[in-house]
Amino acid sequence: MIRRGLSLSEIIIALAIAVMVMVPVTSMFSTSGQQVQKSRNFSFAAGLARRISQHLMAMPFENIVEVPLPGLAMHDSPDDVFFNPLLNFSTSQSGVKKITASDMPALYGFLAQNDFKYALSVSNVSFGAGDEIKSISILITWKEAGRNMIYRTHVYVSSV
Amino acid sequence: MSMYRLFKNYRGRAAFTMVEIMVGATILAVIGGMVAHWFVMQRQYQKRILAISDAQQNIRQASWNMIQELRTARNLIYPRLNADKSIRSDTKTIFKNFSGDIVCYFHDAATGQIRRCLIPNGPGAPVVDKKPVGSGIDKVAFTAHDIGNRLVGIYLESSGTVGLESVYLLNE
Repeated sequence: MIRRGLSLSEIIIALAIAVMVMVPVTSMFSTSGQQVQKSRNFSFAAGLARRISQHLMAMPFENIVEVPLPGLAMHDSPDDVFFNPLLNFSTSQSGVKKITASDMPALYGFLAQNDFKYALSVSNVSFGAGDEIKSISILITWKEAGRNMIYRTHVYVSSV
Repeated sequence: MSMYRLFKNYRGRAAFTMVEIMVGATILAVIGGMVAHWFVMQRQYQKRILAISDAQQNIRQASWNMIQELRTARNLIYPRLNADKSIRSDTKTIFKNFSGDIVCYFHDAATGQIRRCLIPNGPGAPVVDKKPVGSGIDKVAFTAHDIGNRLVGIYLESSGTVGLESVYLLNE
């Protein structure tokens, strides 16, 4: 008895169907991964903005100045009041740690890879001599899969 | 009509030749290997992603719990700025909370937990809360940032994910 096998066209159609089923499954895996990374970056940016807002409250009023776009990178940046220096476990200036490749390689790598930057937009509102308010927009920007991302929050700081 | 002429064995029944079976098995092994490899890679990737998600949650929860009490604290006792006005960090912080209790948050590196304890204002041992403030935390640093010691930076690291927060002590 001679039994008929599968023809080449049948095999190709079967493979094509299998590929059509597999492609959405693979993209589903990668999409969920991208969502988690996106959420991590967004949470991190929100934390940075909160950090800046808290530092603004403690800063001398006259020291709150504009940081124009495209903003300042947090890695390899000069000393500022917000991020550098970041840590110091010693009892003197000599032990300060900054966000550099040598001091904090993991954090530096993460910030450099995503190009995290911050910018401040400051507007003054005066109610008379010595009674002013600074309206400050805090912008955190970063890059994610080739796209420019932004997180924005707003705070008011009084001179009184 | 079949495209392929099947070999007839000594009983006269159609069958695959040894070469055909070997070629088929090899192709199947290669495809099976590729699929299995892809699944293993995906499983590892998903584990990494899950770890990031967990780390994020650990950081969010720990910082939220601490910030709630710290922001209304009356007085930061430790750490404070160094004598040369440089910033000062430590894995623990001590402060007087809004109710006047002396509270300490400290990192237990062995368990990866941040614990809260009350320090008696006199003789006696500190009383550690039963429930940790945060878990799954690899590194913690509380940093005094400004001259008035009103600003505490909080650095949290969990499975390679970092959280940078700061708290301004409203009542200092």
